[in-house]
Amino acid sequence: MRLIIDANRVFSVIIGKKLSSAAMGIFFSDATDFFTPFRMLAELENNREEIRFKSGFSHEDFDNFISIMKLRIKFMPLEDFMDKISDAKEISPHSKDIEYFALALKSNCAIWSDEKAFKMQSKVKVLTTSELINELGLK
Amino acid sequence: MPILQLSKELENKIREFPEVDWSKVAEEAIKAKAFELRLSRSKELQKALLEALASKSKLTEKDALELGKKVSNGISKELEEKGIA
Repeated sequence: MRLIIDANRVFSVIIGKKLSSAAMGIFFSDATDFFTPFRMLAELENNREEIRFKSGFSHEDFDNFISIMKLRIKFMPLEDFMDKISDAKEISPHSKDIEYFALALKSNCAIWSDEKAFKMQSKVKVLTTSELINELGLK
Repeated sequence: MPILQLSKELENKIREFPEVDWSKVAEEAIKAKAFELRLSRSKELQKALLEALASKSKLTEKDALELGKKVSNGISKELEEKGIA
């Protein structure tokens, strides 16, 4: 299953162990392939110090986190889904999420997100963590 | 054991800094690259490493939401920068 992963879900895999186990199961499922806008990599790096401060990660921990993200997620350049930005603006609940919706429209796949507002449209399928756990048979 | 072949140019650069333990630098770089290659080949290793990171992480659900919002806002700035949004 091809899925767009939003930034909240990326961070969900490194929340405390119990909370992250569900997200971890989805993230490492053989049945999933993840995609997200390329710009996310730069933004993770731009927020390196705050992420490190809040997580308690060393620089090496942070670099390992990014290495794993790069191995598990395909980061797609804006140019690849630019033609869907206009349609995405119509359905995205917030301007900050337009790129996720544009990429989902372009790739014809669902978004993995627990944001309730994402479901207030019908053009893009949005799957929450619990829905994905059921769908992937991870229970 | 493989012997490293260095270009003349690199050799000259190394000679500029005799105080540096270049063998140690090379060993660390090779170790890092070998780890990166092992990591890329093994999903089990990726999972074990991420689980180790998660278990030491102090990140709360609230932090994750705040950081997620910040990163998503940053992503959307790309559209503003390109005059699309």
